[in-house]
Amino acid sequence: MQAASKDHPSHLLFISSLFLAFCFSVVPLQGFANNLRPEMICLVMFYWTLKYPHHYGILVGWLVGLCWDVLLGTTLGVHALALALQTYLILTMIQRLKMYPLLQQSFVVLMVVGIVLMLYRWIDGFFSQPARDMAYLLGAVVSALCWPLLAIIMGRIDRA
Amino acid sequence: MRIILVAVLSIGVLIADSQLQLLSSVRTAVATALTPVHWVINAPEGVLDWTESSIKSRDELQEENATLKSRLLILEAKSQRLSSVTAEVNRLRELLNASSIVDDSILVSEIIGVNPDPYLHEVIVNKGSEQGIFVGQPVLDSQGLVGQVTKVTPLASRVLLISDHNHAVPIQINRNGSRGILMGIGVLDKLELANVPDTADIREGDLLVSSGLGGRFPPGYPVAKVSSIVHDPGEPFAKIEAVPLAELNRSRHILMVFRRPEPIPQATDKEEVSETTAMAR
Repeated sequence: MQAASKDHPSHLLFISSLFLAFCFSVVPLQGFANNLRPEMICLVMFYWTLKYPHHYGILVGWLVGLCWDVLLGTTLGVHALALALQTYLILTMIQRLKMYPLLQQSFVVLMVVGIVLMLYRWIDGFFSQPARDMAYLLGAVVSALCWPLLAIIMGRIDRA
Repeated sequence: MRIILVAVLSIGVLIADSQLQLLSSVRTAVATALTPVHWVINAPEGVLDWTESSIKSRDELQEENATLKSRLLILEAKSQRLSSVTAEVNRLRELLNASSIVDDSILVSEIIGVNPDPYLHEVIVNKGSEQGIFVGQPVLDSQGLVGQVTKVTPLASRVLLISDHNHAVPIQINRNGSRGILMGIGVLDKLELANVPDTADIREGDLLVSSGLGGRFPPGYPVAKVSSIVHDPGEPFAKIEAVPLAELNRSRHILMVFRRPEPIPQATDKEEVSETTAMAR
């Protein structure tokens, strides 16, 4: 997958994938399914940072997070900081991460998205009622399960 | 290095947004740019509505028309009585030197989004500051109080539901007028009445209406019905739960209430003051 990567990413593809991820993150779900929603924005940003670390770095992650904040109506900067942290974590281990097989990458996704979600809940707890339980971490598990599929599909489209 | 810069920047933005309210223009601009996201999400619903309304047969339409007409007749009859009753109440209130009840004006709006956060009960509606929506505006549906507006952009606004953890409504019991505070507990079909003494006169099935104290919600709108009362001798207060009357997770159309300014009561100050002091003694 990495062998075929081009030097320059397609910005159009980046923006449209992000748009779809934004749509996905606000589709109304009923009851407990809300806890099982994969964090598509995290996953899409994970893909782009992993593949083009020089183009989609910490600042881009931060700006996308800011848009995410506006979309959800949270205090500006909460998701921004969380996504910037995700990008930072990916960049620190990018050499190894690129060599990993997809399943091992999934495990890293589980860890990173888990950290992102916990950081977000922790900061958000200062501004409103803190979360009552840890069920929101299920989102990280579902995200990790979705990662191989997303990586394969995005890779196909990106190469075409 | 850059992560530290971004972290400091984030904390600055967090404080500027939450404490100083400096960034509302940024939020408005980005929110307007992101409006297509909500269009896309509502597209399937729109297509369904359109197909339903354009495919319906003549018979079905006639039937629907007939039921609507009969319903309208019933409601009109009821409202006729209501107007005479309102007039009578106002006359009686005038006798008591109290301000008269005014009709609120109402704007119908549609829910176009639900906050995906499972810990936050918030919906997005398709009316914004261009239609005169303001922060703190009370919101109803056909059954009862829904919540209040918390954020406004030109074309949409966010409504915090009464069931949210961060929300509380001042209410009174319709039967005897005793007051209380109805808190959301983060469950859609359950509210909690806070700090009610064990000896308070309250029963299951009591209707709770907004009391108008606090100045945010107009008085007299139905909010909830008491569903259970538990007296625990070990606790200082009774544990009272209520079910919201508004269909918080079902209604698609909700009503934004605009209150007309109330006429200033022409209080006969001296009399009232002496009366209250007398009562205080």
